[in-house]
Amino acid sequence: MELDPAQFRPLPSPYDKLELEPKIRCLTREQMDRFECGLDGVSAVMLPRPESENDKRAMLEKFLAGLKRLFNGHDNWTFLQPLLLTMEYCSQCQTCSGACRIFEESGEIEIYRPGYRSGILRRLYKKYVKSGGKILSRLSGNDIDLTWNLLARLLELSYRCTICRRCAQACPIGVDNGLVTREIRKIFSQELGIAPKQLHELGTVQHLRKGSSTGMTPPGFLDNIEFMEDEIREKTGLDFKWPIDKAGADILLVHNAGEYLAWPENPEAFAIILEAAGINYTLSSELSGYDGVNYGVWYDDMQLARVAVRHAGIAKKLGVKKIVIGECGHSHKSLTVIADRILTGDLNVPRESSLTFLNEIVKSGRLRLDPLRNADMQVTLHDPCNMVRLMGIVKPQREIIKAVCPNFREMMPNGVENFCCGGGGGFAIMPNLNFPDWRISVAGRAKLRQVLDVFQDIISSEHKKFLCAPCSNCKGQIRDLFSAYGVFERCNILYGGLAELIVNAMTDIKNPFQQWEWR
Amino acid sequence: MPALQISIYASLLIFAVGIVVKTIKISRMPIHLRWDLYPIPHEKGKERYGGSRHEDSDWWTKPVRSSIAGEVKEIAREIFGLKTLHRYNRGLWYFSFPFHLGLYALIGLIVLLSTGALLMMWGVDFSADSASLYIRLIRFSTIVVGALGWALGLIGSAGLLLTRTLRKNYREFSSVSNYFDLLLLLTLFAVGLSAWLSADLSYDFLRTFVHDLISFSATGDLPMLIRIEISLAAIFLAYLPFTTMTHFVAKFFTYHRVRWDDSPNAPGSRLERDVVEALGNRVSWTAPHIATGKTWSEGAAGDRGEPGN
Repeated sequence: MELDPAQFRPLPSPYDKLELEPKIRCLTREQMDRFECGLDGVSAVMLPRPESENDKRAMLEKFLAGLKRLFNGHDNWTFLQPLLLTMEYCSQCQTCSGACRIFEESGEIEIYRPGYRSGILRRLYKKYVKSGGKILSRLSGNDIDLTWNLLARLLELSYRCTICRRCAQACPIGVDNGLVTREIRKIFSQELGIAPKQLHELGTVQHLRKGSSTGMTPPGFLDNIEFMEDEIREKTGLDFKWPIDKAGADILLVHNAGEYLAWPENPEAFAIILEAAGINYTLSSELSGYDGVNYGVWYDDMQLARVAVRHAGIAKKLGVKKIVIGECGHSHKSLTVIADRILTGDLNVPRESSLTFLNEIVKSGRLRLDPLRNADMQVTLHDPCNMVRLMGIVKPQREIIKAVCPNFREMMPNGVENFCCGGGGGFAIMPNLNFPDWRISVAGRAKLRQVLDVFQDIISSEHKKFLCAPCSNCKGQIRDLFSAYGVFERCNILYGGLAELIVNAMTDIKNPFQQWEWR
Repeated sequence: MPALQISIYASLLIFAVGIVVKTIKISRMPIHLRWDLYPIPHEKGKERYGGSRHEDSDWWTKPVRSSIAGEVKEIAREIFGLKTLHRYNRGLWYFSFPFHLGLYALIGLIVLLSTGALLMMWGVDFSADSASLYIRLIRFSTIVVGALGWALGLIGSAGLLLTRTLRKNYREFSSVSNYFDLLLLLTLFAVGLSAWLSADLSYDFLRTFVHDLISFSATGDLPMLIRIEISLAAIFLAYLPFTTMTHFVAKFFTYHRVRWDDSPNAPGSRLERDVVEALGNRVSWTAPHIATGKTWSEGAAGDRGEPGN
């Protein structure tokens, strides 16, 4: 199967011409021979083809063992109840399909239906896990054979869903196909040791060993801080040291380390705000303490727990009153919500969103703000799924924007019904083979459509337009999406974080903090 | 005692035991990690837009503003209006709504028939000639509710069956049991409607049958269509616990115990004790990076992600 952009849902102006559509590169013959790509001609995981039939058999046996563990209360206490409810009670009403932006935007390609993926796992569960399954499967007409091809394609298929859980929100019964995606990934990771390199080896493992999934070590982090202190001095004239490893501080602030490297203006903005507001906080230079990400949330319970415990342990050692999580959606959800049932005793350090925290500062009047400093642009807001639909943080970011930007407009739908940026579920950091092309053209399509729609009346490049995305992964996806379509050049739409907008409105800062240039 | 009565007793027993066992099995599953999905209707003052306590600074120091009424309202909208389906899949709602409404009406019919049967047992004159306004009201309501139940159920199940059969995206994902469930119900509704129209307009036969069931007395002869109707009802009741149609049980858990379960793990709480117990489970997953054989607590706390730790 090959994907043809002509079958995707057409985009609004100025991208309503097929020639402006980025191509999904075909894999080379050598790549196709080496890696599994039979699902849709795309390879996200780069699963090598086994060398022998024995290797295939061994994989199948391990998968079956993992499948059985997935439905055992001791092995999978973490998600057994929601998973079993999903397996047993789906009535195939297809309501989830209408809510899934990947399915809809792809032009309704069947394999991208949320229920398609779950249907395969359900059949495997009913045949290989439930007693009498082999006979009943045949009788019910739902028989399925576990072959290596099926297994390999199921793995790939689990990386065609961003786990935004819009499908679960739309399900009248409460079935959760987003969870199924994660649970399939989990079998492969926790039993077969298979996961995309960027999530596991370069992700959680590197995070725990080296200190950050970016590869940044503690000394590297300290160098970055020095660089950013200098940059703030140059940009604003403000001269202050960032608090690092300050025992007894009120707050441990944890950013996604990707910010330090790709969008340093975001942690810089935080530093300026917190300094101006007189907040007693600290950053941590301890291993993993300066990187708030937790890629385990996308594929592996043990890695999720390890990273969460590491973060909580650092906060406990510093003796802070709370952890404030920077502008990173998945680290919000993983540490605040999911890890809530991992962190016990004195590891259960309170956790709070930076959106809430920043809103309190803005409302307190401790910053001198002039919204007119942001008046030269129209601003819209992207709701990161993890913060909004999956945590219920809806208003604080809006209150901040309304306080600092006079020209704010909502994209539709928004809030808890938002569309994913297309980089969720780990996608934004997975650059394998032609997967980024798919991520841009299919997964990110709904977000691009929303952004173009909200600014459609001023879409020409003479108007400055800003997409505020208070999440590091979302920004990564939006950067790649805008870059592939040339959105900044054609439409003059820039993207960035929320803290930067606040600093841009601060009257104590002479020059505009927000640079109107593509980076 | 006639076989028809015995089959109803048996099917009621299977139904009750099946539902209770199913409910207990789901409720005894281990505690799971939080997997909230907003909006959560008990978030008082925030449920309208999907907000949560996480919007408040230092939320753990503030009293929980939880609203049972919010949940009850939301559940009522779900049960009686199929709110989510109405919002996200209107095409299917046009059939699913009358289908469910028909089922609720038939539950109402059973309640009204049982009320009449009990009054008959207590010696109240329940005939059409009764002077009591209340009796006449119950008799009239029974007829109206029953008629609505059969008719709406028939329209709904026929529509759902046609949708599943004719629309490609439904047909390709439907299993044999999806069709069987709908066919069984469609037949039951059709026979029920026919039996009412042709043999039991006042429901006196059915009421007497219910009376005989409650009083454990042998029932007399019944018209053939009513016998088929009762047999089908018995089959349906006994079959129901083994199907996805028990989503009325599952939905309590998917909503209350999963998407709306935002209970924070407060220090010293019962929840924390449950979490500690769960973290004491030994890990049996076998990938190289997993701490196979250790407890979840040990695996999560003691390593740097190296194989075997």
